[in-house]
Amino acid sequence: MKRLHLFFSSFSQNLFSSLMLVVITSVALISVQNVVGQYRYINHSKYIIDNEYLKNSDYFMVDISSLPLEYDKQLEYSNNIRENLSAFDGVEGIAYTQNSTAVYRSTNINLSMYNESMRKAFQKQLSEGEWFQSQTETDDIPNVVICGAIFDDISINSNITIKLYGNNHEITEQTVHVIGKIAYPYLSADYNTISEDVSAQNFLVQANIVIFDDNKQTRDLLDKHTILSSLSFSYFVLYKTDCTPSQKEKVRDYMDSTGSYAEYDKILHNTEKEVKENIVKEMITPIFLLIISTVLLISIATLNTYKKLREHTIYYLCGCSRKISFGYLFCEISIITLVATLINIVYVSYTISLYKSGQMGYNKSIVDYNNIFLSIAYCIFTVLITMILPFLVYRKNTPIEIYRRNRHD
Amino acid sequence: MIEISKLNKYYQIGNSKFHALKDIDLDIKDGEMLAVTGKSGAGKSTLMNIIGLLDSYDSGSLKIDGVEASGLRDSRLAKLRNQKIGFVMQDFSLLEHKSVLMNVMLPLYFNNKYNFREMKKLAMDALKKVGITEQASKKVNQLSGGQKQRVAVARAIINEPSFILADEPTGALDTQTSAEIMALFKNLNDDGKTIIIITHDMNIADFCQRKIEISDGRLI
Ligand SMILES: Nc1ncnc2c1ncn2[C@@H]1O[C@H](COP(=O)(O)OP(=O)(O)OP(=O)(O)O)[C@@H](O)[C@H]1O
Ligand SMILES: [Mg+2]
Repeated sequence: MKRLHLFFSSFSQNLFSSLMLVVITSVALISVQNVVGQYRYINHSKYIIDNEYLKNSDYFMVDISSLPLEYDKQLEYSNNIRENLSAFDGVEGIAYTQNSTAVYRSTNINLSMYNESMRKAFQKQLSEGEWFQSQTETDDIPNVVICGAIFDDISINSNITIKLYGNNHEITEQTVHVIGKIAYPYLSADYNTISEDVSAQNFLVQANIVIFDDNKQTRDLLDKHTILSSLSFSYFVLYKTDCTPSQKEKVRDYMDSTGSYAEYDKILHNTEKEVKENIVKEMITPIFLLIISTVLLISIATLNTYKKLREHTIYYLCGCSRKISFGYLFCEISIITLVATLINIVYVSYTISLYKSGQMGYNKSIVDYNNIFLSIAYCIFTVLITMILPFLVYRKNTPIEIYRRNRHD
Repeated sequence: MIEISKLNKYYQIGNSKFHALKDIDLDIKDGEMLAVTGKSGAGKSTLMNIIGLLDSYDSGSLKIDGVEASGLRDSRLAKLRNQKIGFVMQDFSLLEHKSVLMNVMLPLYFNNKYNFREMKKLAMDALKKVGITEQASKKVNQLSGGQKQRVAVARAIINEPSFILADEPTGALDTQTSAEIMALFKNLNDDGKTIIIITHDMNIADFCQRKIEISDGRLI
């Protein structure tokens, strides 16, 4: 209590400069966290699409401008293209989904049906349990794989109940059996991007989603009780391992005639370009700010030490040990970094809570407790680096030394 | 009780050593009022820094109330300074931008004996003894030199130390004010405080019962 009083009595002299530094440092730290979050999202996406099936695939996008207007005709048109594509010799399968929505614990969630190719293409997502074994479903309770923060507390092999909303707003309660969970950070496949410049992160979205096997039973079920969208205008076309270049050529010619495609290598290339161009560019300003604030901090810390040398000589006279005396100086400086770090931790925790409640699903950024480690690491590093000069100044200027100098001045 | 025997102090100047105190033998009994005199550069401040546990020495022994000072750690020395010694310096050594009260309380911040309320009370008592209670809430830089030195004396006595060390306490004061400060020391001495005053001014030394002189690092 006494010590705190003495500390603040001395610290009050630095209040303004400290406050400024806290602001600069906090802004810089928060920006760094945001960019790091984006980078982690890209990196995780890259990790998921980096597998043997997708490596031998193209991302195909139907030319939407040539679509017919009515839904039925669109469906027929897109199904046609898909069937034609899968009929090619070198094609092993089409990784596509059919989607719907439902409600779980009064939150809107997505439903998705994955066929076998889809499961192969996005197999790395699964963290617990397993994907569906084809054709094993017999009873009324379909097997599902779940993904999302709202399923955090659900364990494998338990049943959950979701509410399905039908064509005429009728509600059906459906129990499903959980056989698998998608790994944190709960990214699930997404085909909404139509662009040849598509990159890894475009294929993944943070969402709460229940994944069904694409079989007749579940298709009938979802068709009957929900508004199932079977339209799919973009998907991965997986090639067989023994697909010859000329077979691939034919598939690509067909894709060119009905739309466009992006080769896997192009996607990878786009992803790397994105990291280089966006992430590095966005990182420059906050890193620059951080360096500036650290340099400022070091200068202020050193100046402050010089300024307070005499004050601490008086402390020494009154019976304060050199160590404790330096402790006061240390706290006056470190409090800046500590407060900035604390603000950052509060910010990160708040962001995490937003993610958990599903309010920031489309931010394409992974923010979690690892980001807090980052702030703590920054804090320790900065505290150490900013105390080196003050420590040397303090050690060199002993109280006796200062008294002698004062007398001769 | 301060017992000094065969004490030597060297200063390192570049590659050579300067012998600043030579075989000092000195006992100071409780209740004494002692003047240490000598020409400039004789070694007065060096001796006072050592007695005040601010600086180290190279050989010999210094005992304060029976405790040998050499070899003690910084934290132990700080504690001894806090409990046993009150300092009054020529340059006042006060926190200029803080209140008189805060300055007087300062030594109490470095021990765990008193809470804040007790600290304030002790500080007011000390200010009463030096006769400047009205200035308690003023900032030190608003005071005159004589008032500042009174604040320093109040700070020196607040912790009830065994002795008071004063290095040229009147060096920055005019004759009239100097006499007042010396009268104050005399009063404290009459109340039983041990007082050691370092000065090159014989008129000041005349206030003390006992006088010793240092010349060229030696007691004569
Ligand atoms: N840190 C130091 N390094 C080198 N020499 C020193 C140091 N401190 C003091 N000296 C020397 O030791 C001698 C004694 O110095 P000291 O300060 O004790 O003298 P003094 O008697 O207090 O003089 P004054 O009356 O001027 O204050 C002087 O010659 C001084 O130059
Ligand atoms: Mg001197």
